[in-house]
Amino acid sequence: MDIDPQLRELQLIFIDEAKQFLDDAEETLMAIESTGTTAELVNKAFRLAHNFKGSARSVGYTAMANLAHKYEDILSDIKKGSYPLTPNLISALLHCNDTLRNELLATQQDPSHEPNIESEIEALALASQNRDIKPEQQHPETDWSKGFEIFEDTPPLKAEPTILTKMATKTKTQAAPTQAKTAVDDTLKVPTLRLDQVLNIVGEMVVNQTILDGCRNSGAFTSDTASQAVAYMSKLVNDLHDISNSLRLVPIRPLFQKLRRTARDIASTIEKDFTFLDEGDYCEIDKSVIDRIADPLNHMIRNAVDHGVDTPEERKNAGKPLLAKITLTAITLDDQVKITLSDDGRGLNKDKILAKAVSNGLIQKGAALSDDEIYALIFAAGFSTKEQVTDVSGRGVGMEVVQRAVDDLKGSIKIYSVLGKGTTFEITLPLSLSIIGGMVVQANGQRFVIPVSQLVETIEMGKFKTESITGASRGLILRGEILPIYHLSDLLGRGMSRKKLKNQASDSTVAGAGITPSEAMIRPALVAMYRGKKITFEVEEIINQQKIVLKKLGPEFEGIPGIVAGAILSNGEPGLVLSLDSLIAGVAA
Amino acid sequence: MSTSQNMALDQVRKMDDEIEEHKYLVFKLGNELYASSLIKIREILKGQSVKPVPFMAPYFRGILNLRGTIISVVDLRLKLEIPCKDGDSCLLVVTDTTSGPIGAVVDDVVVVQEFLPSAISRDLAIKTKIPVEFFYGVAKHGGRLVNIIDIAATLTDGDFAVVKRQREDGLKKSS
Repeated sequence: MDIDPQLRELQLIFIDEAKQFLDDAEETLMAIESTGTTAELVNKAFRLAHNFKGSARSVGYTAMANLAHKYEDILSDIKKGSYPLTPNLISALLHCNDTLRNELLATQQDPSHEPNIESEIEALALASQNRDIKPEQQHPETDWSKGFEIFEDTPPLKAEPTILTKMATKTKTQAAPTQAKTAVDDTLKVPTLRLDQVLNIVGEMVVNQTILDGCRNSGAFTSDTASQAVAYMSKLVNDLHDISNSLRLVPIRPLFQKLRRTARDIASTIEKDFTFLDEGDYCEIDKSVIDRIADPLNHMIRNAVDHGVDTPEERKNAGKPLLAKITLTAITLDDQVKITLSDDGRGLNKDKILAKAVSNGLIQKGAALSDDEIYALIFAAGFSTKEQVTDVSGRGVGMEVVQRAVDDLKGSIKIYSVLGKGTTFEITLPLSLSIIGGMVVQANGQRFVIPVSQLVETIEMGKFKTESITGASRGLILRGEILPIYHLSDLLGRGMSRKKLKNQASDSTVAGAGITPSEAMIRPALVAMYRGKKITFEVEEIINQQKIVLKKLGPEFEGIPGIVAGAILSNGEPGLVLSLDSLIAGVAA
Repeated sequence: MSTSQNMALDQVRKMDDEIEEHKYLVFKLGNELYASSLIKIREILKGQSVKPVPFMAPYFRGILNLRGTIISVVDLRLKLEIPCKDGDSCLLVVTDTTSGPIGAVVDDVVVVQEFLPSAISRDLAIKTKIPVEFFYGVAKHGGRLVNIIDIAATLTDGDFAVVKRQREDGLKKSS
């Protein structure tokens, strides 16, 4: 079917807007569910449905408009007070939201997509008549458990399973060749204020550039005017840099909204009572971070409900309030955002984790591990303490996915848990994926960048006592703690030139010209955390700490341990950004 | 736009491609002449600073800052196991590949030359390190034979990383 390109353009604009309508409608419905029916909220939902209907019709999406019409009818009845908005009716409307969203995605990808929503209209009509019957009966095709299963390994398309199955395979096959470039939904809403700021700065730069041009033409490069202009230019460039970074930051709110929905959906399928509270949804974070943390967070909420929260009986016996509490918070700290998910449920059972890890061969029996190390085990591949696979939280792929996503995003996870009292997961993520604080160090005569977020401190090893462990390894004694020592040069292997590296402590040419042997004895090192333990990395030289703009590396770098990105260093040369964690993972295990 | 129009347009594009396709960049690896279609070749660079990368195969020379983008550099001579006197050629042919632009180290760039399909002898029963599908045949230039290859496919063929081996090395060293 051929579509007039002009109409298609309008349709795409509609699709973009309509997604926002649906998000807003969903939020409104859930607000009604938690705070009760108010005229204001019902009105809002009604207006949204009405707008959706009108816009859909104007771009030729009759089927969707019809469904929206039915949706609107129900809300109109509720507005008039003909019947109450029961939870089941809300479920039906939410379900209808999902259907519309899937239809939108389908038409976005395939202009000739034929909508199939007749059944949904009937279901909705039925729901408005049988308001007190459980939604499961109205949607016999809705198999939630299947939905969750799919969820485990598909991209963020959530919702209605039957359609989702098709959609998921579709997006997967499409995404495969170009990799990570979904092309769909690549637009971003930017506040006008920020755009104005950008324009202002660029405007000033243009003026300033004219001044510089004038200086160049008159040969007055050393004049005061010129040096002032250059100084001002560098300020402008810095400002522009800051603002352009913030352009990619979007509120975390839509993500929290989706997670609220997840919690709600699970609540209706499980025999545990819990409230879901969230806070800090105004925090702003890079769009790509949001996109990639959405699934892991979803997973963690399912986990919290399934493994974390205790059953009403257990809670009664433990003397806890019957209603369990799951809290999700976000808070911005400097250039990081901290997302915390806590429950007041069972807490992590250290003995059980240890036993399981031993039986899975992850650790040796009788290994002495700190609490942090034990908790870190739940992130190991294939680890799952819950014997049975459940509908809610899947098949033991579990927390591994979370760890991987957080690693990919160069963040970190901390677990706090008290047996019988509850568990708190604390995920720290960088606000932006493209710019990080980096420590530039030298190893194997080359410069490398280590993200500052991975480091605890930098030390001079010459000032601390080191002792040999088992003859082959060495340990550093830092304020009473014993830290294993690794040489970054060794970890990076011999794939690189190792000339000039022998006897490095006494070789005065190692760290560049003009260094005396006593300075080389300082032996700079980085202290990093690895699975809850501190580790020392000896380097040849610590160059400096600077903001690093991450550059993508080609696919030929995929799967190489420890290399996460490229960077252009301040001397214009390319450098590699390393992840100490994955560099050491193969060695320290 | 109707389907038939689309098809006609595709046809034209194809023909354009074919005309361009007859143009080849002839370059030297060791003492042998090679040529690759000009279509995928972006630019030729000289005297760039290439930084080595750990865990990579010997023919992976390293990375390079190409006007703000980091690209990989592969020594085509080592990759094809062509004997060469000194390992320090600084001439790079930057090619578009399925993995984005990659720089190939070559010994010399000779000329841009047109080879019509009729001038290329195909299906020669010769021994080569180049996978058959990337080796198009042999043509003549100035009385010498030119190997016609798909440089982009040759560059991205096979694994760059020798991760595993290197990691075991690392293990031995630090334990």
